[in-house]
Amino acid sequence: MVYDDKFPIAAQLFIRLKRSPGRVIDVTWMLENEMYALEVLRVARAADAESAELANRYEALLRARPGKAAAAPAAQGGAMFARTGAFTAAGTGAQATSEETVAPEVGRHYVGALR
Amino acid sequence: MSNRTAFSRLMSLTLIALASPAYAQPTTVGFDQISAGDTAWMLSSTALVLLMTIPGLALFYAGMVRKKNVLATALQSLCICALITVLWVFIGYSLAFTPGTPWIGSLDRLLLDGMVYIKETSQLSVSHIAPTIPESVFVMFQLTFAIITPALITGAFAERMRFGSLMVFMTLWSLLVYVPVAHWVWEPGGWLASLGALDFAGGTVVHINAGAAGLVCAWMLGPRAGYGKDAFLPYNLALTMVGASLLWVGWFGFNAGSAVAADGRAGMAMLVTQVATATAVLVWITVEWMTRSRVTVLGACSGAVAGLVAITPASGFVNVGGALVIGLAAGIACFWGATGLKRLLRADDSLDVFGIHGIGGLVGALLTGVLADKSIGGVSGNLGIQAIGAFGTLIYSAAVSFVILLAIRYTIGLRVSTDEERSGLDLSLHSEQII
Repeated sequence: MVYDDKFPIAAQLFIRLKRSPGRVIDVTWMLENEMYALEVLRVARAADAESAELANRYEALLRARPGKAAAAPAAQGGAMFARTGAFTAAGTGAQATSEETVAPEVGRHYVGALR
Repeated sequence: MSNRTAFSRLMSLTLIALASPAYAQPTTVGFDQISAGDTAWMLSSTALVLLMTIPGLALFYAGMVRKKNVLATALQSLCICALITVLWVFIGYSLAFTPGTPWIGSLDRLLLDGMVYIKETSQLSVSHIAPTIPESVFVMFQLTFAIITPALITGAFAERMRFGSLMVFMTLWSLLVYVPVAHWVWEPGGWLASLGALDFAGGTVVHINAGAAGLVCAWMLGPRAGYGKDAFLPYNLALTMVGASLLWVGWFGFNAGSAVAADGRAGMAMLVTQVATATAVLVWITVEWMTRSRVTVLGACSGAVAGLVAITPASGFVNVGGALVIGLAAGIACFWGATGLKRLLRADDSLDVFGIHGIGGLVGALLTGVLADKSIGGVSGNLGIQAIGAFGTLIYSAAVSFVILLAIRYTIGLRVSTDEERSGLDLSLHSEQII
């Protein structure tokens, strides 16, 4: 399977949409088909604020690299979910955003305070 | 000096200024009247202070915001640099550094009118404040201070202000707040200078001023979406450390350059700057370790900036012992300012502009009144007058900033839309992105 930096966001969308409006999406197809991805993003924006933010981030990546959705270099190993449920990119080789790579205790430190 | 005496003196100054318009043109002197050593040092200092904003402050702030706002944050410092430069030569320098009244300078030097360099007759103009260096160098040196002050404010409203509104705010703030306060403190006829308020390099003019404005900005713009609930992860604290290091080195131009001479007082200012900064770093990381069992990069960088800020007003007046005390006080007070006080104030001062620059500036200004060594600066401090200067500036800056922000809010608007904030300012405002 091919992973790129949209994968972690698509995976989070999968979880959120399954929980909240109860919609199940095809993450792999979302990465390969832009039309399908845009439809998922439309559904996500209508779901809740967090899903809408994920949709915005996904769309930003789509715009940044048009037509390269399925052409990202293959990563070694698979993405995994930490015990907390937060996505981590450890072992994926994918260039995830800082929000995804952070350890839980670091994330907690930055809630409401920088220092 | 009692408060009553100070008030009488102030009123007399105002009456004199109103009765007799001051002569605001510079003095023209021969090349041989210029000190090569002073000029060389001031040229170097000017470059060092400019380096503090671009790239120092730009990197310092850019490293602390989220990835989606890094470019926008760095861009703000660069654009403020350009904006203030043009404003300064048009009108800012004239209003700040000509005699005028105790409250504001004159318009006699618009577009730097009267500033000359005539090779044929070997003459050039000098400022009455800095008679041993060319006026062009003094204009540039003061410009770099005028640049970094508004640039500091951007940390308070990071990640949510519209770019156009920011430029309008900075224009108005620079002319209505920075310029008058610089005149009050650094022009010999300014009302705070006349009272005897001590501010060697800008603890009041730069840091209290920017800190107060930053706090008002944070209140007026409101918190970022998700503030207090989501983790706002800094993009890259290595950038912040590089930025803080550039600030530290550049600060030698800021403080030692404020002697406006290559002399022993500049040397003392440099030494106490280093001592206070180092002390504040050690104190901050100690407090951090005691309260959180960790020493962090951001903590060490914050301690350094806190020490630099606090020693700024005192740098030409205190000895090494005083610097140690100021560094100690700054480390503790600014740690509280960026943590406990921040929670009390309930404002999303994103990068702790008030907590560090406002509090650090107040600590430095007040302690200058206590620790000033007459053998170094030729004057003794007065805590009461220092308090008048510090809190007077704080109140003025906050009040005028509030009015400016209110005007912008009801005309062109202050904040980006919710969607733009979610997408990040890099993409939504500038169509650029860090991949």
